[in-house]
Amino acid sequence: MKIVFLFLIAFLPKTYAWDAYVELAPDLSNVLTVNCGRNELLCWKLCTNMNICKLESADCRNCIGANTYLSHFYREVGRLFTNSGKTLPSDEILNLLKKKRLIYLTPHGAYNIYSALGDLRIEKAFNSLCPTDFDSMPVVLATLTDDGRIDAASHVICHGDKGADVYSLKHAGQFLSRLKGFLDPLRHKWNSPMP
Amino acid sequence: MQWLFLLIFSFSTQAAWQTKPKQSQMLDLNPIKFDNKARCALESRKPTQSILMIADTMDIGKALLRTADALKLPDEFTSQGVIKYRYTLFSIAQLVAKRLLSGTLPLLNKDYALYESVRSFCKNGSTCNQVDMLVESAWQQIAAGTYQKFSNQHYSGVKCFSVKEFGGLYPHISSAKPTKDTLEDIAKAVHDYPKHVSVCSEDLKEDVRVGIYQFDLDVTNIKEWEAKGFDFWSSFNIYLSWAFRYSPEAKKLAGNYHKIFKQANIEELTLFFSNNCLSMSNPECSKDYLNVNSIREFAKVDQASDLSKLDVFSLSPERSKESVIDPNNVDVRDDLNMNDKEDAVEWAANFNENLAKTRGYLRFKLTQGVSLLKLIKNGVGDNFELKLAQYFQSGTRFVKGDARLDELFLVCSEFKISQDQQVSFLREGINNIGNYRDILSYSSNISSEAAAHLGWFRDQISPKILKLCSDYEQAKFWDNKARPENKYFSPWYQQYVFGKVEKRETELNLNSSRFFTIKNGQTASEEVICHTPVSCVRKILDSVIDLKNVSDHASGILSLNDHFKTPQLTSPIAEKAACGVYDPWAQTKKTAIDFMQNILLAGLSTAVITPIYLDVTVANRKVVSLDELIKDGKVFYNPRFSKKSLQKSLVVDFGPLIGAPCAVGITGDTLIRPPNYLAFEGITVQSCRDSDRSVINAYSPADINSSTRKVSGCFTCTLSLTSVASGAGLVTPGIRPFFYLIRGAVGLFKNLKSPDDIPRSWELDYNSVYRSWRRNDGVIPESCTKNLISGGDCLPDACEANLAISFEREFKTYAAKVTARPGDYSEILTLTKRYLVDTPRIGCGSASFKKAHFQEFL
Repeated sequence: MKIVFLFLIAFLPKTYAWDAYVELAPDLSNVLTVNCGRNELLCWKLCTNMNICKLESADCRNCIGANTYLSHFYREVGRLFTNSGKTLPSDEILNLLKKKRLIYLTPHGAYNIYSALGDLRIEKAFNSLCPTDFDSMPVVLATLTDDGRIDAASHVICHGDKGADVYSLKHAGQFLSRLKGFLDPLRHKWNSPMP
Repeated sequence: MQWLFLLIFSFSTQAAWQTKPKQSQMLDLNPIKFDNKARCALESRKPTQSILMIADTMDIGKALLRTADALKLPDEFTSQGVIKYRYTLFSIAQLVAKRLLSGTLPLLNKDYALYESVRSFCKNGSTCNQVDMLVESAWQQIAAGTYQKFSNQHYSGVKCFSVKEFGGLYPHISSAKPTKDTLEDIAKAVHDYPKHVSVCSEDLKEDVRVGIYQFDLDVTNIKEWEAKGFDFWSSFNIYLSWAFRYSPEAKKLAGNYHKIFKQANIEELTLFFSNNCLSMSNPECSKDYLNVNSIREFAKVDQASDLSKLDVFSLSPERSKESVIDPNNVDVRDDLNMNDKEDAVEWAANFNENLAKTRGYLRFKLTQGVSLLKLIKNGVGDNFELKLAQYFQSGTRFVKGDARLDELFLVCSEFKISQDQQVSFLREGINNIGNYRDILSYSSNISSEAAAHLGWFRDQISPKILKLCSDYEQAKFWDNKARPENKYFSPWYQQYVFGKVEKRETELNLNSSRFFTIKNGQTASEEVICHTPVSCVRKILDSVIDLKNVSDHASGILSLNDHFKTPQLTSPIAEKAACGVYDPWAQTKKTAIDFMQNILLAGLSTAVITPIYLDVTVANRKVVSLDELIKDGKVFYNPRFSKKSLQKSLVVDFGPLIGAPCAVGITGDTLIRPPNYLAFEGITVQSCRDSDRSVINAYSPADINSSTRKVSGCFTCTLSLTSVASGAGLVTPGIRPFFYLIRGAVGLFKNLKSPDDIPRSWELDYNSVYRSWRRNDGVIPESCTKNLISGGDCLPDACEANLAISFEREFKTYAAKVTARPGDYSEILTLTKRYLVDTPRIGCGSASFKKAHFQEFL
């Protein structure tokens, strides 16, 4: 029955896809509220609700208080952290939002202790991550490591008239990617004598 | 009965115990210990039972303020949140310490096999969730209480105090020996102690910046504590990290704020340090230990003044290491400015502010350095080296006055000095950055990028530039060309080469070139990263030097691997002892040898008639350098000592023999010592050679040429017309032994009186001092000082002392509180008399009075 239902709505004409905003829950956790349009399956796939999903942010170890990565991110967002111009296809958006180790970065959230309260420059920097300005601020998605520490600000949710798009972020001229397996051989190389 | 009369009389009329206590509740701080330099150095190898904790709440306050703003909550949300954060922190710290002491949590040491296996597993590079899992499992087993108690003997608990003022109660931090004035200050502070400290549960400070707390452990089995105390503190460190975030107790204490608190970087926001010369971790001569202790500098500088005076902001190499081997800098106490800022919160706020600014600076330099390397490497493309070569080739066509020509000169000078053998610390520092775990452990992302790009710089860029510059030199390219002004060199170059930084940010006028630009989304404009390929490599070198500087200092300032910092703030002698620069037993050994030598000479001189005098003095070994050893990514220092251990002088007094007014001496060192064998003063002509001078400033083994034979010594000739007469007397066999004996005795007396270098300590109890002060009309008599600084009391009668002490101990209330109860004291007399009759052999001075003996008449 469920399959038939999904099959049917997949062929209905799309007007408004989906959008997402960050809100603070009463327990002070960040919640990403995903609203889905009439024919959008994202919410259904995320939380088996056709209209709305509430995705609670993970706990980020050492992210409240001075944090090396976050201080760099909030200082350099829009300058060294920029939009790569590549949008994510819907299946990847689903996989991304389903991640347990994900936090949401906004211009004025508790994670940003680096710019003054109400500083408009940080809003401008966040807006520069998206192709068009919109009333709602973009939301940056940052992934966490297995032990709950921040790994990388990897994507940005940009709002538009027809809903949201997710772009991957790039940092200082290169797409962000984990350089797994790269570090150890290099460390070995460091131990070799000078040429 | 006189003793009882005195006590009763004092309680009833206030005559003898004239000063009434202001507080009824006794101050329950642990006794304090004053240690002189030598004792302090010895004590630093033992674990402390009293610590101070600084809890930085600025960042928590900022995060809460932003949360309140988003939820449109009133300001109280933030101030209450800060109070709750501190409350949760000290409560959990106290709980962890209590559970460790009582054995409901196991010590995480080598005796705990499971922990050892987890630790070795984590060391192999995997993430350390396993430690959290182990701690969680231990915490869940608390109800079962399966672990052996920390102390098999008496266990009392862990006391927590909120510190408000340093004046009076903390003299042991700034002075080595208590005096009468110190004792009176202590007594006055105890008299009004709520102004200085309060129990933590009553701490409701609303200062959003910082809180400062003291934890005192009651440990009675000192031997066991000395064996396990360091394990206790390292376990405390690990448990606290976990328990603050994840324990049900913390969740309950934090209430609504728990979600915010558990994401806090508590290890960086919290600092623990010993409240005396003892330590929280075993001192070691390592880069981490020296670095973490160097943060005491932050207490000395007022935030209003120039922070750039601190080592971390200077570009000089490893000043912490340099200052450790400086033989002139061996103060037992560092002035932490605690007396200048009596308000403890103000002091801690200033300290924290300095620390936070410095951390911000290091973070900025770290991320900026790595980003710039990455930006340039990725932005300029794979053929950057080719572009550089082409640029250097075109440099031959640059005409005089072209800023690009100056830039070429600058880049060649800067790269050359960065790889120069003469400044090996710089060259080795740059080339070894990747070996230090510090730089690789802040964030996996930043670390992997840092390692990759530093490798590119070291293996590709640096050799290429050196080759291109060498080609220029061989072609005599720089001949007849003007050198750019000093201000255009990079600041680190100016520091090393010119000894001062003229101007920090002076750039050449290269505006016409735009070699590499990025689009800046913050300003919506094009930003020039480097005007020319050479500008790019100069920026890269600057970044690498910055990263080296970060690597030098970061381990002490930024938190690594979620460990709380536990520096030995109060005594710099700890690291000097750990590195062998200060030997606490040196003076004791020297005293014994000097004395024995004089006894021996006295014996010899009775038998041998000769005007030749031998003087042997034990010289303190000097650390001339600290060699670096890298072990498990951690840098240890191995002290290299000067070889001499004995200073020998041989003096021949020609006066009595040939009538010449001259005594000739040859010494094995360069200390200019008048020939004190002779009882006269004269004109001394001396010639010395010092072998140490050339190596004292060495930084690495490579800098020391140990194969060269070096000789130190002095040739001395002292001329005096009186020598003939006095010397004649001295060679008389009957007198000389006495001369040596007297000299030995005087020397022994003098040496043993050395205030700093013969180990000495004084322990005193706050309440004993206070009791004596009250009993003596609000003063400490000079005659009492000795007793009190030996940990005793100074009451006129042993019985009176016993009753007062027993009463205070049993009721935790100051004795004069008894005066609140009027009435017939005959009951007390009878009761106590009965007790004394029952135990006639004990006597009132040593009887053990218990609560029951007092309760019947209270």
